[in-house]
Formats: sequence, C-alpha cells, structure tokens
Amino acid sequence: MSARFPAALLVAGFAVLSLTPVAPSLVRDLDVVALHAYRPFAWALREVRERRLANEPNLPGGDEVVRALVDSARDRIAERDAALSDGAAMLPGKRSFALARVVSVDPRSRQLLIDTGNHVRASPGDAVLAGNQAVGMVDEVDGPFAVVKTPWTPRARFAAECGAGEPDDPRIRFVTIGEARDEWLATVSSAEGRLATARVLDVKSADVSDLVPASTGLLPSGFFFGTMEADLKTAKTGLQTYCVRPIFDPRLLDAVVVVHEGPFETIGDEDFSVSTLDRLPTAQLSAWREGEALTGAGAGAAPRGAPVVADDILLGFVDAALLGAAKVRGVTDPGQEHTFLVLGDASSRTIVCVSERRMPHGGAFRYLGGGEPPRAGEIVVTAGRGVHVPRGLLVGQVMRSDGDAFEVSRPPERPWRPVEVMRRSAEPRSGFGP
Amino acid sequence: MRFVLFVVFTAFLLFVQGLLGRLTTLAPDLGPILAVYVGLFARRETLPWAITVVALLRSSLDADPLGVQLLVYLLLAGMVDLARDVVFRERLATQVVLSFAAGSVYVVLKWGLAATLPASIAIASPSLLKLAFATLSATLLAPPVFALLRLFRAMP
Repeated sequence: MSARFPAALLVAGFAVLSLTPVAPSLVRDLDVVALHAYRPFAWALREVRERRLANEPNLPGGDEVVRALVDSARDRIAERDAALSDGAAMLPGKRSFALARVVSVDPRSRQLLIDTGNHVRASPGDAVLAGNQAVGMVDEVDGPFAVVKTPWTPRARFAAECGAGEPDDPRIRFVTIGEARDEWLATVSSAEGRLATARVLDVKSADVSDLVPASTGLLPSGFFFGTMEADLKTAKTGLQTYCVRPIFDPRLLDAVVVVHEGPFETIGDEDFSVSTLDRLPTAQLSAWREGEALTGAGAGAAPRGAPVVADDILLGFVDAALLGAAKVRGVTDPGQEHTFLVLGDASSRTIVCVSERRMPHGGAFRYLGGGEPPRAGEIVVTAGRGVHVPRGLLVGQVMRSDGDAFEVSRPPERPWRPVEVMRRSAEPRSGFGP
Repeated sequence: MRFVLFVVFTAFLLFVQGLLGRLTTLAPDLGPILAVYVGLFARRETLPWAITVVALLRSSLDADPLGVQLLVYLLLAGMVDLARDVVFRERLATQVVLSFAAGSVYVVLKWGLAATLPASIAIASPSLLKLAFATLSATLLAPPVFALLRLFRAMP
C-alpha cells in the first residue's frame, strides 16, 4: 500500500475533526494562519482611504456630527417613550409600569414577544399598553421575556365597551374574540341590536370587575384598542354581527408599557453585554466590498443576528460565526428587511423597509410599510427587533427620498477600527416565543 | 529543498491572488489549479502534506474553515492523482482539461457544502458568476503557473 494513503487518511481525519465542536479554537482560528504579508498593504491602503474619505459625501463633519446625531436620536426616543408611558402614568392605584422592547411580532398567532429588561420582571396577567392604546395582556413569562396576547390573537377574549354613556350614545359592554382570518380582527359577542348602525364606533377596554373574579387579569378600563363595524363576511349569511379592527398596526410597535399591580420584581444587571473584537487583517483590505467583515478571536461567541457596532454606528448583523471569526452582513447590503425607527422633528414612527444597494455615502432603501416614508433630514435608528438588538442604534440620516425610495447617509466605513458585538445578557429558552 | 520552494511559491501565488481579489471585483482562484499541480507532479508520498500546505495558505484568503478547505483540496488532488497514470501530464491540453475539470468540481463542491453543512460551520457562498469566472480564468492560468513552478523546480 502506498505511503500516501495513511497520510491522506490522517489529513482527512484531521479535517473532519477540525469541523467538530471539540476541535480546539487554534485549529479554526484563521488569524493564526493569515498571511501577515498583507499588513503593510493594509496600512498603506488605510492611509489612502483616510484621505479619500474626506472627500466622500458621507455625513460631513466626522465624529462630531455622528455624536450629535446619536444624542439627538437618544433625546427623541426618550420623548417617544415618555409619550408611550403617558396612559400608564395616569392610572390610579398602586400600579407600577415599565417600558418593554418589542422583540418580535408573530403574524400567525398575533402575539408579541417583549423584553422588559433585566431591571423588572413582568407577570402573567399584566396589562400591556402603548400611550392611550391597549395592546394586550402578558400570557407567559420567561425571565425578562414575555409573550403578550392581543385582542386579535385567535380565540383570545377581552372585555370591551363602546359608547359614551349618553342617552343617545349608550355604553355597551361586550367581549371580543380574536378570529383566525387573514386580517387582524376580533368578533364581538352578544352585541345588542342597537349597534346596528352605519357608524364606526371606538372600542375601549372595559371595567368588568363586577362580572368576573378579582383574580382574573384585566386590562385597565378606558384604553382604546380598535374600532367596531359591521362584519361584512357574516352579513352575507343574513346574520348581523360586528367585528373590531385594530386602531393601530401592532406589527409596527417598537416598545410597549407593561403595567403591574404593586411593585415589580427586580433582577438588576446590564441588559446588553458588549465585546470588542478586532477585524482580520484581510478585512482591512476588503473594505466591506463584499458586505462582510471578519472579526477576530472570540467572534465565535457572537450569536446570529447580533448587531455589530463601531463608534455607536450600526454596521450590520452577525450572519454566521465560527470559533475564531464571524461573518457580518452589512446593514446596507441588498435584500434585507429591516424594522427601523424614523425620528423626525415633529413625529417619530416605526417603518419596515428593505435595503436595495450600498452606495459610497451609505445605502438606498425602499419603504415597505409603517407610518409614512422617511423624509430628508430624519434620523434612522434600530427599532429593537430581535433578541440581541437594542433600540436606538444609529443607522444614519435620510439624505433624500423619492416616493418609497430613500437614501441614508452614513458615516464612512473604517475597516481597520475594532468593532463591538452586542448581545442580550439573557436569552429566552429554546422554543419560547409568540 | 524542492518542498520548501513549493511552499514559498504557493504562498506567493496565493498572496497575489488575495491581493487581486481585494483590489478588483473578480480574481482568479488558484486553489484548484494548485491542487491539480500537486495531483499531477507531487511525489506520491508527500501529496497529502503538499495539499495541507495549499489548504492552509488558501484558508487565509477567506473565512471558510480550514477543515472544509482541506477536504475539498484533498478530494481534488486525489481525483487528479487517480488520472495521473493514464494521461500525458506534460501536455498543455492535459493540464488545461484537468484544471477545468477540477475547477468545475470545486464550484459544485463549494456550492453543495454551503447548502448542506450546518450553519455552525459557516461557509461563504459567493455568486455563481464569480465562482465560474474564478475557475475559468484559473484554467487559462494553469499552464503558465505550472511552467513557473516547474521552472524553479518547486516540486512537492
């Protein structure tokens, strides 16, 4: 037998073993075998790029402008959070409330996964509000994460009422039942005949404590959650029934307020942990042309979907990670759907958009839905979708918009600078979700 | 000495490829043709070690795990080694055809592995156009690269 076969088997065995989790990180740490001859070229190119960046139409002014944008975004998010908490702050009694990030919205079950942070812990039955709107009720809790059942969750029941209580506009109480239809709606049980009107009625959460035991979780009364109208689907059958449609789009919520009877249970440590990583020498030369950054040792601990940040700017999200390196998909790489917060002078709103292409100064996006397309000058930040993504990471500033298309101006990339990978310090257990 | 020369020339060629790849949009991939060179001209007892060197150096150019590179290049060199006794390895046509065949197998393997391996073993999946260009251009470069390596007796 030729000598090459045992050697080939040895090499193949080593190759297979190196792909298993038991392989030492050294075997897969690409930095160890990187061609360090790249380094002088990387340094030379860095100098060339630094000079060229000064003439590119990125956010002018460099770090000062970026710092001002980050501060401005932080202030506007604080205003938005204050407005979200308005309704909860007005509630009587010994209730405490806390802001929670919306991690994901399941369009099938119409439930939300929220993250209350490490400082408070929600309980099943807690009401979930957004300003003067009722969003739903906490159904299940896993550490800081909670699943929220909405009135549009199939078979979910919520007490509601409509009418102002005037003689010509009597108050009517009823129960809404979530329907499993294509659109988000709930039908109304035992609606009285006098509802047979062409008017669209506002529906509010109702106080039915006189009908159900006190142990039942109830939404505080007086919070709007939809409008009631005749159900056209059942009208064809000769029956006159009514349905409730959401007054806002729950899919576009970025944060909600959890209301708890009495004080919250507190845990008390940092919500997000940050690890600083160097990029591989070869990444310095790629300059994000492929939309991927290769980070150095320790990157394998980065979870998929974790945001990668440099100088408070969102660069992208971890796409895949090895023990010693991570692939990062840039935020402007084409074909990715993002949920962003658009912060304007007068209003802020959540939008869904898709990245279309990278540009020298940032990226082009297409607006898919949400409040309204972004306008020039508005600041775009992350809405906090995803377990590991905090709200408010700066994406850039809208430079121009034309219909649904808009361009975001971003600070110039500096691939030689280290990056930070963020991750939520707690994660929901496997399978826990809406 | 000849093995050391082979390592030096392989490092140089892959370094040039890496530099071209970073500075231009499309660049030839010399990995498969180096595997063909090893399969055709290496002494048989040193073939696995020569392929290990190629895979080690090639793995520094992208984020694909070393193990995947090793397996792919070992397979390519093994296939060429099987054909070595029934072809005229000095002929340009043989070198070009085998390089093209190895490049095609390389493209299929790379795409197949990217689609089938679990996400924990992350493999970059470049566009088919890029892979095809890299393979075709490398095929055309095979005779001069082989000639260069043989001129300097860089023989594993």
